[in-house]
Parts: sequence; structure tokens; C-alpha cells
Amino acid sequence: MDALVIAGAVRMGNRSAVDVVRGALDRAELNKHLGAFTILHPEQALKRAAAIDAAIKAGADPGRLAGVPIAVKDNIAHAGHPLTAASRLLQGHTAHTTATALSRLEDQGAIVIGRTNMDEFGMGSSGENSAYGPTRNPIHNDHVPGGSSSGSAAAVAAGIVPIALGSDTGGSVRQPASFCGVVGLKPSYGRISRSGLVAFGSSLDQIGPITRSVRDAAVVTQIMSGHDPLDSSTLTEPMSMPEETRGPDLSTIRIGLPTQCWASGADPGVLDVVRAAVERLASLGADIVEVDMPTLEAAIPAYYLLTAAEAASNLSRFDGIRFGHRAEASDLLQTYVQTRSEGFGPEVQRRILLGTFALAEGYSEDLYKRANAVRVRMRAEIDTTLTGVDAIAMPTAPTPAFKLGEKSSDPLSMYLSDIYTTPPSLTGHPALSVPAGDLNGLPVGLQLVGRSQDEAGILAFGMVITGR
Amino acid sequence: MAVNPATVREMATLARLAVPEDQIEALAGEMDRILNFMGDIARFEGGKPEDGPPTARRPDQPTPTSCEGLMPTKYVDDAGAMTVPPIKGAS
Repeated sequence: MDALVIAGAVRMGNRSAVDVVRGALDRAELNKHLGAFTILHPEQALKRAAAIDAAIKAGADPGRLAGVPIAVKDNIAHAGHPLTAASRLLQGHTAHTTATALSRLEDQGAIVIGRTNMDEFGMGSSGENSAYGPTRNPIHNDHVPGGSSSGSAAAVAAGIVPIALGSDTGGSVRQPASFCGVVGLKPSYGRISRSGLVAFGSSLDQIGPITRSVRDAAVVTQIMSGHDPLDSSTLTEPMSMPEETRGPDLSTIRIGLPTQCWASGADPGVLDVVRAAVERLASLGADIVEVDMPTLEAAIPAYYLLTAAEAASNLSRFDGIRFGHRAEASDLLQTYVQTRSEGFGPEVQRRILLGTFALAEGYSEDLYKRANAVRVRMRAEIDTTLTGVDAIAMPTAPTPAFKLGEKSSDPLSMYLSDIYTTPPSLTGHPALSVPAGDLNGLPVGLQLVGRSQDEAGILAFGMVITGR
Repeated sequence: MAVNPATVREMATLARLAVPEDQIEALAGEMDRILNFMGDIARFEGGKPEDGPPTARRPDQPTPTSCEGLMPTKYVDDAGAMTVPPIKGAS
């Protein structure tokens, strides 16, 4: 059931928040085999639900998400709860503050039932790089759910919660949403505060919702959005809701299909499903046109160079002195080295080394500067394209969910699964993944990229495609 | 762009990581493959780094951390008491 339907029933007194939360906790227990949660908070969740029921009985309005159970990715801080980013390095670390995005949801009556599994520090596209073990796809348990917000997508797709928070640096909300057949939104850079989010690539990181309906994604994003003095990159302009901007008549709308996406080696079945979904917009009057976006092919190298460099810098704070795990060593330097070597998993270590290389004098051949130059060119190209069309449509991922272990020994092949999601991450444009259909029983996602700060536009198209 | 075992060792030192010696060779090959793929980026911006002012940079060499000069050489006296730096302006 969608979050807004649940909240409506709770606010009207037709359902108790305690029953809703108890149901979510029961479903989490039933789906334990998915590995979607790193921890559940049954006592705190039920206590909070009881307080919401009491407030409603007393005539108060607990907010737009009253009694809605939600799950939160394990890299988003929730005061008093563990914050590990699925890393051994942060085992035992407890958050001392709550992320702004999450506290805004709690202020509207949302109830956190637990924290979700993920690829360590957000680095991965399969949900397999976790100190807690892999997450499984709820639709086909021997397939990956995507990553890095693997547990959040699995929890929503399994019907445990209607809303889960993820974070998206290069597709970590949209790709698992696509693999699990749910909705995932990466808002414009700056739309949602990053305060309380464990940093990976700070110039790209965004918190985003994973939901069952596009309308839920719109409401949750609007609640979380807005200026935050704790994050100077947040936008001050309010986010519009989709129904305020556009009705179902699409006769004046143009949707662009990048030529490069149809020639990039994606699974032909995926391309057919995506094209059929775009045709639904055409049947309502939208004009579908091909657009040329040559720099899309540079997205993967640019993304991995920039984020590896930012990660190498951001993760240097994890040295065993201030957070989590600390190795026993003979001196301070060895404490740093042993802590980091024991604490970080193989993929995180690989990216730190790549990032160190990309920034190293004498080795890098100015890779970081080159990647930034491509990023600037890509932003101009997408902006220009979006002056001629209202949104750009493409697959969210080149394939449906692959099997567990299928790509884990080939990092480059894994990186290439982010080919369509990394461009809007690099440029800061909003991007939405909606279920477009399925291929051999596995969900396929359609990604819509919108004009900067125009989440409402792509959400409106998403509602037309999914009907909710 | 060639990454060899010596490069991996040097990057690991800079990144404060200890890569087991039996994994160095494989990691060097893997990084070389990834960085060669990433080096393809030059194709998209004319093969030249972004124009900008030349920046003076020091050689990127790891050096041991030293606290010398930052802390008193002896901050526990013979009686076992801590030496506390004088407070500015206090009599």
C-alpha cells in the first residue's frame, strides 16, 4: 500500500499506527533471507507509533506521513542508532545526530523501523560489497537487487515499507529501483540536505527516496527538500509538486531519446521495453525525438575518476582515531594503516587507490582535471538538449538484474552497469527511474532526466507512465 | 598509463593502506586495466587538460608524521603531574 494511503487512514483514525508498524516489522522478519536490513528498531518504532496514535486521539495532526513505516540506508545518520555504511571500519559507531532529511520526515510523522543494507560506503552496483553480506533481489532471490541502496530497494519491493531512503552518487537509488521494479528519484544536486549523510563523492552525493508510487516519491522529496544551514549547497527555491505543473495532456511535450543510448551495447530486450514505455507518452500526444549527446560515452571514466578522487579524500578521516574500529598497533602510523586495511573492504580499497593515483603528482596525467573538463562539457550538452525537449528518456541500466556473483570478479564490467545513471549525477540534473516493464520476469527501469531543479516535470511524466 | 607493483605500493603508502604482497601483482593489473579505460576520457575534450592557471605543487612523497615542536618534549614531570601550557593573559 502506498504511503499516502496509509497516512490518510491513520490520520482519519481508520487504522492505528501501531498496527501499521507491527505489520511492517512482521514482513521484515518474514523476508529476513533478503538481507535487506542491517538492524531493526521494533521497540522504538512501536513506541513512536503509539505516541502518534495518542496524538491523533487527542485531536492533533502528526503530519503528512503519520504512522508511515520507513527504512533508512545505513549511511544516513539517525541519532542514537548505529551508523556503519555497511563497513567493518564503522562497526560500533553510533550516530550522535539525525540527518536533516530524515528529521524532516520524522517531523511529518514517519516512523523508522530499521536501517538498510548497502554496498560499503555506497561503492557498488550490486549490493554484494557489504560487511553484512549481500542483499538479495526480492523478485528472483538468486539475482542482485542493484546497489548501492540495495536494502532500501529490496525493502520497498518486498512490501516491507512503502518508503525507504537511499543515497545516489552515480545511480545508487535509480539502478536498484530499476532492478527491483520500484520508483527511485535522484533529485537535483542541492535539493536535499547532505547533512548527516556519510560522504562518498561530495560533489555528486544526494539523498533520494525509493517508493512504490511516483506520487509518494514526489511528496517525500518535497518534505525533505529546502534550505538547510548545515549544508551550504542546498537550494533555497521550494520544490513544486507534479500536479501543480502538468496534467495528462502531453500534446505540447517533447521527449528526447539519445542516439548514443540505443547504440551502446545495452540488452536489446531492455531497449524494447524502454521504447514501449516511452510510446505511452507518445500515445498521449508527446512528440518523441532523437537527440545527439556524444559526451554520454565519457560518463563512466569521468564519474569513476572524480568519485574515486573524492572518496580517497573523504575516507581519509576513517583512521581508527575518531570512529568505529581501531586496530591494535605498535605506533600511530601503523594504527592508521592497520585500521584502514582491516576495516575497508576490497572495493573501497580499490577505489581509494584509484583516487590516490588520479590525484598523485607525476602519475595522473591530469586525469582529475580532464574529468572535470568533461563534466563541464557534459553539463552544457544536457542543458542545451533540454532547451529543445522537456525530458530525456533512456534505460536506467543496460541490463536487468544480473545473478549474484556474476560480475563480482570483474570490477570494470560492474562499473559499466552505471553507464546511464552517471551522466545526471555528474551534471546535477534530476533523474527518475520508473518501472517500465519486465524482461524474462526481471524488472526493467526507464530513466527520465529533467531540467535542473525541475523534479516536478519528470515526476509528472513518471505518473503518466506508471499510472500512480 | 602503466601501473606496476611499485606504483601500487606507493599509492598504498600514500593512502595509508597495507596491500598484502601476494595481491600486489593482481591489483596492479586490475588498476592498469581500469585506468587505461578511464584514460580514454582524453578523447572527449581534445586531449588537453582543462585550461587554468599553472599551480605550483610540491612533490607527492610520503613523509613520517612528526609532532616535534608542536608538543612539549616532556609533558609529564618527575612527580607524574601533567604540564599544562600557560593560559594567555593569565597572571
